[in-house]
Amino acid sequence: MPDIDLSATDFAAALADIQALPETPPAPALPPLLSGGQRQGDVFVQPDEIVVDRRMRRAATALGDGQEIVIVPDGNQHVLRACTAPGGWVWVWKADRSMASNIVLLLVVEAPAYCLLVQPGGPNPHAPLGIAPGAYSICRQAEPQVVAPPVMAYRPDPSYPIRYVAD
Amino acid sequence: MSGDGFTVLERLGIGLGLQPSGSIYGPARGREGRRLATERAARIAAVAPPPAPPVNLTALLKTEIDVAGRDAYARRCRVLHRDRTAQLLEPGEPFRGHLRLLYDVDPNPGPDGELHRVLLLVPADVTTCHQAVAASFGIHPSAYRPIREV
Repeated sequence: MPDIDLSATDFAAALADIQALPETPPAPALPPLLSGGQRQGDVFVQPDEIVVDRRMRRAATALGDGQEIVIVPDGNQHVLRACTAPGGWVWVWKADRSMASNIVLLLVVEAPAYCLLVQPGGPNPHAPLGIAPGAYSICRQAEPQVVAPPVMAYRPDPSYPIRYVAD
Repeated sequence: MSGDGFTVLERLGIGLGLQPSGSIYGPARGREGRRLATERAARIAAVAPPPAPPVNLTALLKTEIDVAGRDAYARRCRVLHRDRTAQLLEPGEPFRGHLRLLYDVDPNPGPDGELHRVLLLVPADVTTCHQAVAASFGIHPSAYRPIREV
């Protein structure tokens, strides 16, 4: 490295310039990549047994490296982010909303890919989850919708036999 | 011939006859009485108000919780099961037998750094807190084994 002659003034100016540079934030630590059940607020990642045949693969959406899919659009959102390397695949199938099921997404991660479940929005997001290679169904929490029958109003039934009063 | 007397007698299943003059005779017996009562029942059914609409108990309970406040409403329910952090509660009438409540701690601290509680509506057939959480995700209790919760 060549010697550079700097006067004290120039050195102080260079030092001030370096100190004025914005600090780069530390890179966020990668969450642990787990293949078991994980919960992020109202979303549960459940290991599942999904056999992907040719027909299923045709209906699937393949996510490339860095591609995202919004699982829950409401509130703070839940977003699945694919992190793929050559040879790895991430396949997703969005569930039909008309089906009365808590499952919102089926997910197959083929090594060496992995996925992150993040919550980008909101003032108070949940910590990200790391999803290891495997097959999963992603369920969303829901509350039962209970509709009670109305209180039966009196309505005489013409087909019902009459019981007369004995006198 | 209005009246309450008429209604009461109809409810008792007493067949009454109506003369052309408007006066009532009876109690009618036999085939004639049965015919009269059947006619009258059909007439009442025709003018009866439509049945009341079904009651959405989920919406009703959520409204009651909003009005009373989450913690205050939870205190007024009966505790059925207790977990490390959660309680399974049974609300009063008219929700008993239709819905139960899970009073749990949100694992994510709020903006103030404090842990807050949530009150979740769950089906009435769950008996433990674990079953209640699993049911809220629509999965079998044996399948709900989270190794990490954030």
